[in-house]
Amino acid sequence: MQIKKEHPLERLLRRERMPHILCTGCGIGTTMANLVEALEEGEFDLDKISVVSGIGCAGRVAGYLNLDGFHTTHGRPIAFATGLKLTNPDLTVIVFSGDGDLAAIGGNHLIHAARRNIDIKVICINNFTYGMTGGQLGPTTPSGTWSSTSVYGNYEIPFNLPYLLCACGATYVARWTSAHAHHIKNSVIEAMHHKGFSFIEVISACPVNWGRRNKLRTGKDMVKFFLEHTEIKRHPDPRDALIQMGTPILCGVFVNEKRPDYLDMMKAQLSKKLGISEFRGDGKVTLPEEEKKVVSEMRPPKEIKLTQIKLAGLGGQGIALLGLIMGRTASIFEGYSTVYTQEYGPEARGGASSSGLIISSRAVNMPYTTAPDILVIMAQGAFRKYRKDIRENSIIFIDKDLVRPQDIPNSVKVYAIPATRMAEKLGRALVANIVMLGFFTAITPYFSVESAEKAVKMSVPKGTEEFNLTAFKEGYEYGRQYGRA
Amino acid sequence: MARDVLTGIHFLSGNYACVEGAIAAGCRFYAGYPITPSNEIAERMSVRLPQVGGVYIQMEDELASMAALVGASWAGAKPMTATSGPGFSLMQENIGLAAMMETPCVVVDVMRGSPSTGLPTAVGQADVMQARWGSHGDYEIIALSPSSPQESFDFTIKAFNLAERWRVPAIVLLDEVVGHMWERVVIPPKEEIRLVFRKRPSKPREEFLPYKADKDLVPEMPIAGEGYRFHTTGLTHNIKGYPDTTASAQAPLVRRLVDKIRKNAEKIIDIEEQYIEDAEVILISYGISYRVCQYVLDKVRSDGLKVGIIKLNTIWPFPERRIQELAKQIRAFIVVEINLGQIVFEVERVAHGQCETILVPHAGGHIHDPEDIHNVIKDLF
Repeated sequence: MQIKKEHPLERLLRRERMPHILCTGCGIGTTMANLVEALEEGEFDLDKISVVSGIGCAGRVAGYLNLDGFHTTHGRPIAFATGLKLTNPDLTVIVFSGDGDLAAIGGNHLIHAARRNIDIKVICINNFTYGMTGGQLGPTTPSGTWSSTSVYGNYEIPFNLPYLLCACGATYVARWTSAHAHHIKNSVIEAMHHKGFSFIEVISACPVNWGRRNKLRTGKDMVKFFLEHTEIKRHPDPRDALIQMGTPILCGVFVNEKRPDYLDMMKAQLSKKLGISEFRGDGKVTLPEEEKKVVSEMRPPKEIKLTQIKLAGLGGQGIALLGLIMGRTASIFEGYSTVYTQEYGPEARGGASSSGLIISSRAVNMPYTTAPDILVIMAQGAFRKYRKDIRENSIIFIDKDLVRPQDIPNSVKVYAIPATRMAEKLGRALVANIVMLGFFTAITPYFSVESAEKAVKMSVPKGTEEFNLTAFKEGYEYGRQYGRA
Repeated sequence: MARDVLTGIHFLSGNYACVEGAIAAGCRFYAGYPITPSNEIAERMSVRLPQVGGVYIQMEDELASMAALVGASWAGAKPMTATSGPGFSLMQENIGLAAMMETPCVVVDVMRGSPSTGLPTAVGQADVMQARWGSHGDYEIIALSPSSPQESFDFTIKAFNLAERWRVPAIVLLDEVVGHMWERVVIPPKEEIRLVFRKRPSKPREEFLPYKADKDLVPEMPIAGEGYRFHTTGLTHNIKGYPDTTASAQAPLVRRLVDKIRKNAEKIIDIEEQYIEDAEVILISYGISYRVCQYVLDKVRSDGLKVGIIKLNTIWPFPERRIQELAKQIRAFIVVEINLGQIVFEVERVAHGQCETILVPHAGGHIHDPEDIHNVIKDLF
């Protein structure tokens, strides 16, 4: 008889990494062999397969397989795999890790990946314990059994993983024990062909750290135990899959259903809106031709001194939009150094809205309007709040129906316009802010009509440009009666 | 049709400008979790990435976001995430993994008042040390600190280039004020934006060693799915990428991870100097605090005080050589930062007693009152 030099599965294993670290009797090695057999038998493109592991005994498997392999952080292989898959959807991504890694520290990623039905194949070694660290209690340790941190017996209820995964939306869920080599192999092949989140739980022998404490001291004891205490069903109900000592371990394929996966759902939603057929993180996507846009030249600003403008009113009056349009006018079309800030945080609550704008022909360093030269006020409450900022020679713009300025220095110039009434007359109170912008443009020397109109056009909803420009003109004409400030 | 590079003159917030910088740099993958004051980055990414065929995914937490970034990078993406203090803390685990696996990626931290939940809507600059060594162990990263929306755009591109060049996570340390303030942002034509890509394997699979570094201490990087069948791990590893948990494997690996930044620091460091020639006192600052310093500087210079400024565009690696040099020439450094002393310790260490080092601290929640800086300067003259 001739002895073959090469192991039949050598093509898929990294020989230089052998011997592996797994203990005698451990179910991880045999499950890894089942995975390798499945990959051989299924004739998959091995260059396109990535294996991702977390931390723990099972986490070492990514390092033994002759594939692209990623040995990541504790609990995060599914999140890592999500990044791989969404960047290059042509990859087949397998996560091979343990119950502690996937269901305890990584439990959040497990349930969310299942919910998204992202096309990742998860093989979860469930050996009831933390093997690498010495056999501590885990989220899958059966009640009443012993571990290095439950020496009086475990009084927690373990996860029923098939039930959890089914509830979260995984579309392929199976469970076997490490004694069911053939079933594991077939399940892996099924999962490889399945498009969507696949979860194969392998109840696995850990004689050294779990078995030893639970009267199953050898690998043989454990395999015998599994074979004697397993019930394989054709359509098992995941609700019956809780593992309890004294009742059989329910095995089989709990779910195998077709449903659009994460990428399908993404494409369906985005493609019709954007006219793009593929989305991937590596940028290898053909995009529709883009139209060339003429870029306007920046114009040098006319000389103005640094001017602080405070804009204030009630939420819904469009104060933030007014500030943004004034900012665009000043910055893009007049070429001033411009800083725009919105009041942010708890003080912005309660219906008040305010923004600050600083414009200058020189660089502006300080971002906030601490001593406004001009205040634009559209509500009495805002007037009360910012009354303290009004100084000698301040200029204030008000909606004259909504604001009664009281108790202000005589030197203050007040420019009043019934902006909201005028906007209502035009048909929509909403454009009172644009009426005010027209008024401001007419009174102050900062903005040309052309610049302000351009900024209005680029800032208001499509289709409302003409209406807004009419509002702007109304305010502007009203302001011309006053003359320049 | 929306384009990847929005060439033209814009009026943008720092957070929005950051997104445009990322997309112009070739970022097509974003994974994140909502947190104030960084939300506008995620929101605009969710609009812009699909327009250029990229992927936006909102993950279940920041642990997942950062892990997804590392995975995405190994599949060939230039990935980014954005967060703020509490989320940045959660990301540290996989920032460490990215450093160990040598994974290019960009993490934006829009700094707010802290510690813990702190001041979600108000400014802080107290994450600068966390950016350097927030994950456990010895490693070096690169961190940049923009002081305006324009720099938010420019430095985000730069962060991607540096991450790709040196195979490290690059941290963009925005702060709440720069993130939320709006200014003019000029986006240049696409062909004028210089982009850097990671080194790819130059040898066939049989001869390729994924962690064998070149002279610049940076190894070539394979990508999943291209047939290299490589292995990478967060464990201490040898040049093959295989675990080797021995002291003799640890030394060359960790030394190289650190040295590839320390020994190439002069190529990475970017600082701006003003009025240094005759300065007796030099302000050192970054981010929004730099602008307050600049405001004060303009005043004191017109009063004839010999004050200069160093603006740290990159915070890490730290500009040791230049600060050492200047320490011999001047009377004092004044460090202005919105924390109770972080960068000041670096300055003090490097100045090594050659000149005085003074901190103008701020506990957070607001920018400095310029008077506080002005008074410290006046005391020195």
